[in-house]
Parts: sequence; structure tokens; C-alpha cells
Amino acid sequence: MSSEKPIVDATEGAIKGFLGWTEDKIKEYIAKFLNRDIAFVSNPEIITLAKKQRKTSQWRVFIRYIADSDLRIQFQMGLTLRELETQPKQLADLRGKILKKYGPNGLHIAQFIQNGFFGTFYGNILDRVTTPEKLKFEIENLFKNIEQMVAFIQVSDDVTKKTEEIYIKIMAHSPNTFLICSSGSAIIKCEEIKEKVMKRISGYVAELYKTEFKEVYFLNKSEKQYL
Amino acid sequence: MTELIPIKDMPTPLKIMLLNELGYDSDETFVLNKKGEKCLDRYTNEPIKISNMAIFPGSTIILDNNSLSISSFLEEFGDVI
Repeated sequence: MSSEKPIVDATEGAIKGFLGWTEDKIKEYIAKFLNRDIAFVSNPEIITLAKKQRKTSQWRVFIRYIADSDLRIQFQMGLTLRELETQPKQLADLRGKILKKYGPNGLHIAQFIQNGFFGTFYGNILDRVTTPEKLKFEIENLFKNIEQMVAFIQVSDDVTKKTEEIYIKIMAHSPNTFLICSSGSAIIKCEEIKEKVMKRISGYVAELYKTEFKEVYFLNKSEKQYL
Repeated sequence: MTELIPIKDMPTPLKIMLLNELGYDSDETFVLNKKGEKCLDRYTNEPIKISNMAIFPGSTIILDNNSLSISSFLEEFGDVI
């Protein structure tokens, strides 16, 4: 059989770009591949996006403090979720993959990043810690214990139950910072919950950071207790 | 810099030939190893569909071309592509 015989004939290969590919051409590509000059990808945009995220300032800051590769991937997934917010199907598909691999904890980390709360957290904590070591500790602590330190308020949440849940977490773990996050129509409920929590705890000061569609309350230990 | 060759629209027989050249096979839906078993994505542990595969050089790593697997690959191997 001639090596110049096209592998794809007109009926098999309706795709213009690959018509006329020969065994020789395949071999040429394989040689380039083995020489690490090329990779074969179904969706180059995904690779381009992943590489772009690894150059963002948020990523650069994050990796200065976090060495854990799973946390780093969850962080990147958060950045990707943000990019996919206008594509519901892809967004749901990726959320499913994150949940399957990392569980609710990993998904919450990704959502925390997706909502842009890391930059807010970093700015808040930067104002209060006195050494780089403490800064590293606070960032690591947040991502390793996100379930104990962060509450995401949904519009469907029961205010009394959520307040109790947050109160119990704060009493049990006494975190230096506890975050109550919300977006869109859940913001009103978030404010209500924050008020009720603050009435039940002492030694914490609440600070609000908000954008047009998102709100996050930082319940910070008052300085005397923090140090 | 590794050049990315898009293969999404590549006809299946051609993809299978590529896989054969690299020591893999396909049942026209999934990527198979030499034993005829479905290859699993090393990061999601799910069978890799030939329609959405990505093949990276080095140790010839075949993944499902999704964001989680790609970011995991970059995290494990660095910015090699």
C-alpha cells in the first residue's frame, strides 16, 4: 500500500483541514510529538485559559503562600469557574468534576475564588497581621479549614438555622476571622444573618466589603484577642 | 514552546491512527491501552473519550481535555506546554 494514500477519503473526512492527510504526514507529526514540539488537543482554548490563569497576579500571590498542589488546583478551578459564568452548561460540568474529585470542601474553595473573595480576604488580613509568617498562616488556615471559617449564604437558607450553624462554628473553632459571603438576591438574608450572629458572639468586629452584586462580612477577632 | 495541534474536527480513523502510532487504541468512543482496557484520565479517573482527548508529549500522557485535568497536568508537570 502506498504511504501516500490519503487516510481519509472524501466521504469519511468531510472536514477540510484533514483531507489529504497521509501516513507520511501522520508520521511527521508523531516525530514532532516525540520531540516534544507539538501536543494534540481537542480544545486548545482550555489549555490557553489554564496557562493564562497561572500568570495572573492573584495566582502569583496565592502560590507564594500555598504549596499544597490540591489547593492550588482548586484555586485555579475557581478562576476557571469565574471565566465560565456566562456558559451555564460548562459551569455546571466543571462544578460537578470539582465536587467529585475534591468534595464540598474543594468546591467551596473554588467558589470562594470564583466570587473574588480571595483578594478581599488578602487585603483584609494584610492590614491586621504583623509578620509574613502570620500572613502565611492565615492564608493556609483559611484554605485548609474553609468549612470552619466561611459561610456561603444562599437565598433559600433558613435564617435561624444558618445563624445557629455559624454561631456553633465560631464557638467551636474560635477563628481569627470568619467570613459570611453572599451574592445577588441572597445579600439581604446575609445581612440579617450577620446581625443575628453578631448579637450572640463577643470579641469580634464586623467589617463589610461589597461590590454591586457581592457582599462579604469579615467577623474579625478584635485586636486585643487576635494578638 | 510546544505547538498545540487542534484535533477536535479530526476524523476518528485519523485519531485512531495517531493513537496506534503512540501504542494506544480505540473502540471509536474511548481511548484504550495495549490490553484493550479503557484508559482513565489520571486526574478525574474517568474513561477518556476519543472525541475530547488531549495528548501531551514527554511520557505520552493522554487526558480528557477538561479544565480540571489540564490545570492538574500543569500543576504536576509545570508549564511544559
